Amino acid sequence: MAYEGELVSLRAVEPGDVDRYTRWLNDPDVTRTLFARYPLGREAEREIVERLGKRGGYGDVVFAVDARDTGRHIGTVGLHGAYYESRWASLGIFIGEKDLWGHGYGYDTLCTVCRFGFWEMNLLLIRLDVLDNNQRAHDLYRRVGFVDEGSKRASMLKGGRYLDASFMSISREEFEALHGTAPDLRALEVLP
Amino acid sequence: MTDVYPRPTVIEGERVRLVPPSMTMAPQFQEWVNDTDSRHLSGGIAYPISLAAEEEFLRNRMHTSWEDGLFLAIEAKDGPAPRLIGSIELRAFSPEARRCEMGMLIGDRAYRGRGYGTEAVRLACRFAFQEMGLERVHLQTFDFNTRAIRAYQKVGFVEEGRLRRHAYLGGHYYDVVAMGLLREEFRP
Repeated sequence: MAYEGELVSLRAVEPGDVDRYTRWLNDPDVTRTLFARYPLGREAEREIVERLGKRGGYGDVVFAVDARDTGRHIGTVGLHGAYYESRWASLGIFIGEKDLWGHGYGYDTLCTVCRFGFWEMNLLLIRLDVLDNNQRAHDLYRRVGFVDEGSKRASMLKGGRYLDASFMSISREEFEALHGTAPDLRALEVLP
Repeated sequence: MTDVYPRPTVIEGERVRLVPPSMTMAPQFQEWVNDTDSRHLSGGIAYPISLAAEEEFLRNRMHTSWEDGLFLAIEAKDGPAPRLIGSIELRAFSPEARRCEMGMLIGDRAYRGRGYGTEAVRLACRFAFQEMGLERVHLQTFDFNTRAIRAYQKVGFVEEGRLRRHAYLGGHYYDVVAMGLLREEFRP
């Protein structure tokens, strides 16, 4: 009951996720590379999750990421601020469960959310920013097919240092050239 | 026939019955609404819907009347116990033009393509014509959804028009097929 990738499935954020989000977003190993700064209380996170449960739609899509093999909630991904006219949105992602870093979940989450953006929302481009202390994510985005566009100097103050951010994007054509196109439902012999 | 389900506002046929939704059905409806295939068949973009959002949706459809419309759960009644298999909706009633719009989903895959949807459509249309005094029921579906189109045709619906490339889902544009059924065309 979700938007499925190979390793992950993307679903709506639910109240039961609050404790995990609170844990992840207060973990310096997780937030070190994110555009997040302030400590986050459980009640504040609960309010955020409640709000997320009501919203949704073109301008702000947020998913909880579950590992398909175990059903375990491992992170989050979203497409934010989509422009009706220009048809691009900003992608945000983190895998909060550190023991699952480097297992391909991030890659599959990115591919799946790109499919959603291009094939459900009909976006033309998906953008993201990545801090320059996050080489690992930068490499991952390149592997998915995101292209470097440039750099914004001193984007984020972290631990007394002003970090640059790279910005990257992927177009629908670039994505489909690497990952394939959507099946045409008219060509199906049997409907689901 | 013995009424083994003594509830007041039941629309009942051979194999299915249409009942007002209850909040206990919310998790099942949420599962279907978040199932990408089901969402595509029934006309939506697969945005994620939380349980709270689905409960809110149902809460707004608890009441059935001319003004509120009728959102009804489809239950299969040929098993050992009534089983929730989908939903059907009559909405946007016009008192002047005597028409309404219909939407239907068989959410449970095991019950698709077996005539349950056709019977639900027939029951809902009978209610619209006989109990609400309508002259016309109309609906929209997608060109790829040949199974739904066939079900509607069996009840008497005819294609009235085609909205070319009206819908985008699952990576493609699809035509939307507009269908309508007039009171005298209805095959009960």
